Amino acid sequence: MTPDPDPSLASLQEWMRRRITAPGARDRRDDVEVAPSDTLDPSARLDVYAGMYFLRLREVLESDFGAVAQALGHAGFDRVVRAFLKAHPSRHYDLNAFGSRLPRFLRARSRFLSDLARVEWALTEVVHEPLAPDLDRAALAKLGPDEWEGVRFRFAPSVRLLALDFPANGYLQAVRDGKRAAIPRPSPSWLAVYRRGFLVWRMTLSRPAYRVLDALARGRTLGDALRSVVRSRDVAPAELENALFRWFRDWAGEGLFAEALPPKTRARRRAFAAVDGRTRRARAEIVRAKRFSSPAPVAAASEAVPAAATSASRTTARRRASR
Amino acid sequence: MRASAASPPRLGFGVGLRSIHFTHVLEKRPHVDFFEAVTENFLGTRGRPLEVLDRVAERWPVLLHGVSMSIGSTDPLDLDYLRRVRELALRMRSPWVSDHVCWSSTSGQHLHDLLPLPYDEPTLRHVVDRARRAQDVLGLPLAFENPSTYLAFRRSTMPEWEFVARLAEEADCGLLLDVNNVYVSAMNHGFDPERYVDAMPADRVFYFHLAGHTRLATHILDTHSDHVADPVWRLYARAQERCGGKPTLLEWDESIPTFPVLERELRRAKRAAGKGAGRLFQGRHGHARPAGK
Repeated sequence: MTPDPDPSLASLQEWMRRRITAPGARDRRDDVEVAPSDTLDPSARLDVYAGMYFLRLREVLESDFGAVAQALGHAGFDRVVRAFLKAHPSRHYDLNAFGSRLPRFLRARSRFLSDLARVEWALTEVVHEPLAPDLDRAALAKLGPDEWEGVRFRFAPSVRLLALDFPANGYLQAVRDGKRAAIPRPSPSWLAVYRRGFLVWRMTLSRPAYRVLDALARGRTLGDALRSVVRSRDVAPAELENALFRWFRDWAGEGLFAEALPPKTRARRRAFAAVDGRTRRARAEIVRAKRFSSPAPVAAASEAVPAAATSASRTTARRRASR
Repeated sequence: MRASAASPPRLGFGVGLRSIHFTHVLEKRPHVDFFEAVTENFLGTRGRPLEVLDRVAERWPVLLHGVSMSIGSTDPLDLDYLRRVRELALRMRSPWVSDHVCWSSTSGQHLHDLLPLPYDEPTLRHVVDRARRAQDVLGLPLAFENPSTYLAFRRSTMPEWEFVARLAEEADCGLLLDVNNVYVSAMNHGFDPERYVDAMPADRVFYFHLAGHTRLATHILDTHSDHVADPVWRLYARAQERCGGKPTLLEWDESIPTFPVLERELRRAKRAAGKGAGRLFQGRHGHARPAGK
């Protein structure tokens, strides 16, 4: 049996947590709990930890959002970090995930900074996503003309598509090139962020290209995706026809797609059959278990159904892996 | 598995794997005996960091060193975290995993620091219990590192070395003796670092850490940002002599130099280890493979 935590130790840790996460929070308990050293009084010793708490998490955010930090300037970024730490204290051991809420947090302050943060966060995210095997183009070439409309694409996990209100990618590139960049005026832009091998890439997209990719990423068929672009009147049908070949050559060449799923292919039938088979087997187990009135196999078999059904779904320190 | 049942491999001299050196390590295959990876950097990723670590583990022994077990916390043990650590350790064939004698989270908040504990009997009981349970979940020997600390609690009733040594014995776990941390804490609290090293149970010490620190006007910070300081080298030689030749890991986390600088520092560690270094390569454990193979 797990013993209850020492209430005195719990109280000490809770006090210290509040003491080092709230700037300038010296209190009378400093002297009660902490012994002085030859050179530092108790409050100064606690302040060492308070200072490191802020600096460490600031460093984490700056490493993930370097262009945002540069746009804000040192003092401005300090203020944002302090506000962010107060609103979203870390609830997870993984520092690589700590900045995930910053783009939304910045939205209320600056739509441009929020867009810029979204781009930078996408760069971090794709680093931590696995690569997918290249699209099987030979299988794609075997598709009949009437099958193309119903094709769906499974995207590589290490791909992010962004629709932005500002040309944030241009700003980011300028910062990375060491150029002085002015905050741009609002102007919609579209971007694919993806990983090839160990390198992360950014591909600017036109509005219609983004529409096609976004529709495909949402699981719509190629026919539906193209019809949505035609309806949007972003591009004339003749131009779309010309652009399509180039787009798909580039997207497939850059590894954006992991798999093309033709309508009712053998592969899909096999996948359905496999899931169906597992379901049937699990049901058979349940029936068998019920027949023999044994509760343990019922539980095991019941758990097997959702585990099999979700097996295809994706799941995603001080010192961290950098991009 | 408990530490007393383990036979720690004699790994030699290694360095902490940092992302800035990923390409160099994979392409140049440097002459180091093993690498140590910060566990948390590889738990939440299925991407590039894990791909690199897999490739490193094909060639060198990899030890996992964590910073978030929060063994001294009064929050419940994070069993999901421990299971993920176990999974990664098995994947890397890490012969043990290590973390720190500290707390780093409470009330569900992670502070991402190695925060000091009061060294008294109730805290020791608390940490021993959690260490035993963590080790059971991990199914691997667990080694705890002495942290650098910047404050001491008035309620402490024993010196840090006694707390750490008793933790190892009573929880049946290993020790990762960070010689630089001993020195930093000794200077910050005014105790004799040699007394600390001499109090360590040698058979419990799995390996040593070495690193640089930063001396400020009022205290020393454990920054891992510089060469190992001369007094730390002397303390390290004493620790090696006392413990009979243990593997050694060099950490460098800020102002990280090029890899050859780390290799030079490792060569100095071998010289400083003296007679003990000769025993570091005998009787390799099944997990360990020769450097550069």
